Amino acid sequence: MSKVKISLHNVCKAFGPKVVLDDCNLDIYEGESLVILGASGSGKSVMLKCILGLITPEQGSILVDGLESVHANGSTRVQIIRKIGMLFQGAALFDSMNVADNIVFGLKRDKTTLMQLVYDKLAQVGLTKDVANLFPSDLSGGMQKRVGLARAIASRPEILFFDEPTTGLDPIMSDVINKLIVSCVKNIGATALTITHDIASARKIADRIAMLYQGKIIWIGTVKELDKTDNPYVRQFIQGSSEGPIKLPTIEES
Amino acid sequence: MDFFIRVGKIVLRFLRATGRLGLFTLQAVYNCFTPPVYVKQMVEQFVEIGFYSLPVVALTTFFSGAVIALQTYEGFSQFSAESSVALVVLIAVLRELAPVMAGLMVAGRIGAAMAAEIGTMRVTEQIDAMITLSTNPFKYLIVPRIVVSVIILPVLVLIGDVIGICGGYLVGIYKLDFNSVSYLNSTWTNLTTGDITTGMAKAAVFGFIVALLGCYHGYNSKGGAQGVGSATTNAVVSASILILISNYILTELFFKG
Repeated sequence: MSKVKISLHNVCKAFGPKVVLDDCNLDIYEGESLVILGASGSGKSVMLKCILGLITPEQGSILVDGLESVHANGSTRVQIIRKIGMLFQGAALFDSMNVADNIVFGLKRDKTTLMQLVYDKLAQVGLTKDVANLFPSDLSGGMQKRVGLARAIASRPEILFFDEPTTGLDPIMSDVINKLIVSCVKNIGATALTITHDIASARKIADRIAMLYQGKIIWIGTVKELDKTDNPYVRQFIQGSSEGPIKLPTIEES
Repeated sequence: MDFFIRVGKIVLRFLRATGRLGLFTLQAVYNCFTPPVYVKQMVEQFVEIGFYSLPVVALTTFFSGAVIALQTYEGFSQFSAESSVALVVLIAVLRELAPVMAGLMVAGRIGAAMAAEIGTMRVTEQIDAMITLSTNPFKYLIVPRIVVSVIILPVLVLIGDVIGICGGYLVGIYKLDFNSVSYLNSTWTNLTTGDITTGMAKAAVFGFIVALLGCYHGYNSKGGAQGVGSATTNAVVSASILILISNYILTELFFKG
């Protein structure tokens, strides 16, 4: 078994009375691609932000490559962040910069090397050189996601996070993005953590799939095991049925 | 009972907001004095805050100087003290009008733009993206805006001083029939370094207030377009109020006794 790259132990996070992560435990192994499934508002994004240190959990421990992320000091935080590349849900490209500047943002090398890096990464995500001078507002949603992916892999991070990578894309573009994610992860040999509620995307990307419900990982297994599981929560989720144990909050409850 | 609960909630909310702003200020000031320095961002802000604010500051100070000359003449002529118009224009422009008008104009133009830009970056996760790309958003976004505002606003005020006095002079000469030489002579003899430097010191404080509140409200904006809209409004309103309050305090400090 490979070593654990990211480890969450009894992580708890609440926003006021709403408990989002409730004693959440999860191990992600080096080199694997883990997908976390969960309904909207189930705490998937909060979990990612806790690992990144953008949100501090009230309780628990998060180890990234052996470094404690919760309450990490400045230098440890930088060490952790440098290991991670992230593709955001809306791509989160800097709209005041062109594509080239977005891709090499934060990287310190000479100009020629940086431009070569831009062209390499654009090619890796299936975009041509002439995209480099365009601004994010000139790009379609799918192209923005590709540029976001190029930016995430530009520093060759050890860990890649994908936040709802196919949300808002048509099925064909979703498939393109899924394939790009798989090839990029394999190319740089990274450990990948994806959060999504798109089952088709999860099947394509994942080595293992975990299901997050009410702040806990309630099921974890391979793609093959996903189809065979008799876990009623997972079955309801992959069937996309409103009937079952998963109850979405109603207006009265929330 | 209900009344006290409401008042208590308002007081608590106010204290929480004050504490948050205090922490934000400390963090911003600390980052101003620690490397790295993003020179390109600084230069961009010099152009944005300094160069593009110049027309609006020039217009407002020009007409402020002009209107002060008119009003002073109107009042002083009743006591045959018209000769003091140049002195009053000088003091009013240098000590109060140029710094306050420049502060308010920059709050409206730049404070709003800062809150809107940083707020949009916040709600579209661009600030989170910046953090994941190993860049401290305080150093990249906030420090350049604060440092440049503190440096450039006194320069704008200095230019505004000259233009405001010109406004008063033109009204004095062409509307109120003052002798040009005696008006200029009166202005020159009453001009003191203290009046210029206190106006510039006020401007530096106003620049800090405008940039800090623009960045603070933008950085903490929530929700979508509505959140950014509220941040923009709050940035301008709070900066304008604080400018006027701090202007009174600074005037007391500089000119009392």
